[in-house]
Amino acid sequence: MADEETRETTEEGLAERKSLSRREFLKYAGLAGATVAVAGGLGGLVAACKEEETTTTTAGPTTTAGPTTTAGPTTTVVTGPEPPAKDKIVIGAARPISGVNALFEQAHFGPAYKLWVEDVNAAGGLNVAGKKMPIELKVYDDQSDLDTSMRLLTKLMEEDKVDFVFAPCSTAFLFAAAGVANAHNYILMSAEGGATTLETEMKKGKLPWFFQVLNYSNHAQMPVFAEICKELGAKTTSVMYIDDLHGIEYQSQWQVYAASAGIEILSNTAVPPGIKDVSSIIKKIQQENPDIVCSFQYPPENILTIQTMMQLNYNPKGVLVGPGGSTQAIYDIFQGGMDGCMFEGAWSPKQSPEVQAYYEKLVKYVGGKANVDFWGPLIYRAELEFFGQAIEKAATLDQAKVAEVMRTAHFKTIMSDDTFFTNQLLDVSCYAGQIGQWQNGFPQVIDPGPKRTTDKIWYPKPTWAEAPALATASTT
Amino acid sequence: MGKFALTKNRIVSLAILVVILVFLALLPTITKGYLVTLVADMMRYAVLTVAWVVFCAPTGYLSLATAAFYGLGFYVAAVFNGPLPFAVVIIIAGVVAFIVALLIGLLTLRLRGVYFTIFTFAVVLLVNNVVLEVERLVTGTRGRFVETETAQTAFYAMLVVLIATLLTAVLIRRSRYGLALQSIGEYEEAAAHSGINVVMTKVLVFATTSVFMGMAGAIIATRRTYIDPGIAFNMTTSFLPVLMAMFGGMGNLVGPVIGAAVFTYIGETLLTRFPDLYMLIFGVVLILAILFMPAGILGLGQQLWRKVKGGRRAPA
Amino acid sequence: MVVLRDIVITGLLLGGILALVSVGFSLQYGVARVLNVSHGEFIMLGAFITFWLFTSVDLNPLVSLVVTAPLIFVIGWFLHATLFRRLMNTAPALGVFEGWSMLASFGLLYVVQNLARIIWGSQTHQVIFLNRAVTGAQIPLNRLVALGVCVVVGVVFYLFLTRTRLGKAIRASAQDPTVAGMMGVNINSVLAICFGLGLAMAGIAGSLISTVYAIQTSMGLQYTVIAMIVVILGGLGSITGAMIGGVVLGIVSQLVTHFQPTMTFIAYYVIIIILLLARPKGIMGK
Repeated sequence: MADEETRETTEEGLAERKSLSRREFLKYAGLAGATVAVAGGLGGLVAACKEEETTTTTAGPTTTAGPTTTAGPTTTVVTGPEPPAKDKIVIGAARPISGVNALFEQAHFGPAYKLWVEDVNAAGGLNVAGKKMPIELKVYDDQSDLDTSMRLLTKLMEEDKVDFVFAPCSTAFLFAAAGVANAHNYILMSAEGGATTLETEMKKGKLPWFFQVLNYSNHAQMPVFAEICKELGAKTTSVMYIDDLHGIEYQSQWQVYAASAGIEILSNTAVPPGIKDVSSIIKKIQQENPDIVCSFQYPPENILTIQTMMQLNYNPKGVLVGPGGSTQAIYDIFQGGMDGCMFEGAWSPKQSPEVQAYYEKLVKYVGGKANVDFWGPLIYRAELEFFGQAIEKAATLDQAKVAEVMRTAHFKTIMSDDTFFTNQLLDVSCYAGQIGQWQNGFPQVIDPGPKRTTDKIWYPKPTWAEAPALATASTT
Repeated sequence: MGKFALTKNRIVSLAILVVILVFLALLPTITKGYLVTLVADMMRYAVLTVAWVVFCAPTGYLSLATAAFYGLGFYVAAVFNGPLPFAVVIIIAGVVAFIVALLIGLLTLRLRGVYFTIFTFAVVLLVNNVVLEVERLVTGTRGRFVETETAQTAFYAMLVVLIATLLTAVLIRRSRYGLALQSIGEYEEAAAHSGINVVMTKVLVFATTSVFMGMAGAIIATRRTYIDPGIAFNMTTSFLPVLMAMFGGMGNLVGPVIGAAVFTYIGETLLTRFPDLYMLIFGVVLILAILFMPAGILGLGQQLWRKVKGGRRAPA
Repeated sequence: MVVLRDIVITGLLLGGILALVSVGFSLQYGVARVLNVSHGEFIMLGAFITFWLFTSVDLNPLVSLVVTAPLIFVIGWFLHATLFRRLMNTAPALGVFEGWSMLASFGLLYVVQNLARIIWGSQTHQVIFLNRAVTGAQIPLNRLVALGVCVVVGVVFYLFLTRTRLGKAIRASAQDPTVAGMMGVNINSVLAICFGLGLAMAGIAGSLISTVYAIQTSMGLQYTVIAMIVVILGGLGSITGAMIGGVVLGIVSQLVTHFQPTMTFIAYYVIIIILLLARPKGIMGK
């Protein structure tokens, strides 16, 4: 320490004495440094580019060995596929155990995949070419941070060499993960999230390994909601949407389908995530007096919006609540107040005895009703059942072969007797429902046609004040 | 005597540095695996931390604007990578970061201490929200797709930027700017009175170090496929370099590099081994580290070394 | 006119909440010199304890203040007496201590959040309490109560600082710890009490927030950010400053939300930047 100080002072002294020459020296040194850096940079980049070429050429065969040659082996293997040498299937995932998305790992895709793995293992595992293979999970915490998530996903693929991966949480993460999956030739089935942008990328053929599972605005929910509005005779809506992926997309698709159903949008207000007071927006909507208020927002903002409507005693005839609206948690907060609210989703335990049984198992698994959501979990269950059957049918753990089966095969799952993908999107016909409504504390599917689980849609919905009374009245 | 020892030390550390750099340069040829991604990530944090330390450690101005420059790099990559060569994109990112940092530097002239810190913090949030609003109004969506590069390309680009960062850091610290920064940190008014152009020094060094943050951002963005404002201007990017610098020690430039590498490695180990308790363990480690090795890992090392040396020598 | 009245009223109500979130933060930095990044985590703790008492024993959220405030005060006092005091004694300079204590509070952030997640999970909750408007006027009762508590806390604290021996000791320590120490003030004890009080206020804020907003165990950091902004606006270490900062931000935010909601947060930061350029030490700063 003392040595350093003396050195510094002597140098300082030197600098003062021969400041000019030192300055000049520094100038030259700086110039030299800069040139070295630039030259080094260029050199490195040239090297890197060369490297890139070599890697692409080496990667070339492997990619072509992927999807294109799949048809080859499956047809040429006549003697029947050999079972894999290993004893278990390892599935990896980087999931938001902590951070802002942690709720999804706790109550959405998280319990769905863990429960499925338990069920598969209880039955001895998946039957891969005659060999029963149990599944082992390898789950890392991505802290709800995209950087961490992508690095851990890369680690799972490159270092841990897991057999399959599960998707990370939320749409932005799916976008990025689709790129990682592409680079490593891994199947990526979506979990929470999905957007029209992905569909356009898929149509361009940029995402051969990606399978979109969750339903979203354009091909599923908004057309159905427009039909429901038509059925109810609703003519006008006012929209609040979150200034984020979900909201921006839903409001734009709603504009399209509302127009085609002859529904007028009176106002369309973007709300930033994290807003702390929406009363002025609600008051404006109150003056417009639309038939239906659409709240394409995230759970905290949706809760704030409902609460503000209650406080202002504003009772529109219908309310559509975006993400969070389908959760038991939001019903637990407002109790009967949620009755009559419509939500994006959707499934209902009433659909079939199997679904009822799954619901009960899920409730037990997540420690009570409070952690059950009526949008994703049934879809995820179906996706996983589909995936398991695809592996069994492919009779191999080879990504390309399993992907090939997934693209074309039809399987029976809990959600639909005929579950299949069309252009790597889960076919619209497979879903249990698109729009739901809370009725006496029960989630009901209200899609027009056979998927509806209730006799009638509550419209106009009960007022906030009378809803709880109504709930108790109807149960007695 | 002292001088001789120092030069010897310097030769040794230079040799170590060269060995490390050669190792890093050869790494992607040795392994094609995950290590390349991990080390590239460590180098990214090393760039951010060293760049942060050069300005913030001597002056005591604790900047949280790192994410702003880093995120701008993301957007430069999203817009220009593909149409323009990767190397050009990185340079553009540096230039953009420089200009923005110059502006921020000029705005913050009167701010001191924690006010400066929170101002820079607010800048990141402001840029984040402005970009979000502009994207919504202009492109009608939230995010953008980025033309990707391979892990190897990104690795080498990051290595080059790291070397450039270290070189610049050394040059700044050894130039009159380094001394000027030191005296600004000790007593700004006195520094001004003794003829140092305080404004010029602060703003110029702040902007220069920001260049590398922008470059690091542009490189990482090409490994991401998709970016949006929340991803690009993530506050974690501002906080991590501070934590890493303190963790490693800020006395010289080796500390921040070690801090970045060790911090990333510990984080990774905990996330994969103890995903449910990651935060708890990490928090406890952080608190213990600050309690028992406040001068950082490097400080602890030096302390131990001194003890060993002191034990050998006769007490003076 | 009605619009303007509404903006002012809702702005005041929002301002009350923002001020409550920030007062404790200001106190911790102003006197104890800890830039407590984990401030928001203790707001979360207060909110979840209130929620827990509300759902398990049906305790009125206002009554639960009697539980949360003292409990979190003790935690704060203990943290300062062990962790921050040690850092203070080993740090060579005040600037160094500020850096270290911020790093340590980062550690706390991680620890508290992880513990809370283990106990309460990641689910969204809210305490529905006084969820109606004052009859005749469209003023939400839960926000009005929050504003009321904020005013009461502010007044009580002001009286405490100006009228009591301990309060005077705190003010003396804030101005010059060394001199205060020489004058016979037990500086360590005063700082620990101060830090505890700051955290207790976070607890109070949390209790009230659980009735106004949806709560999650990961919510802490966003409130720390709010506290930072409000406190910088008002002037660090000034209790009145935090109050004024909260109200100013509340009204401005309502004004902007009325015309263009997406500009709300942009407005936050633009105000901060303009204000800091005009008055580098906040509204009440000297």
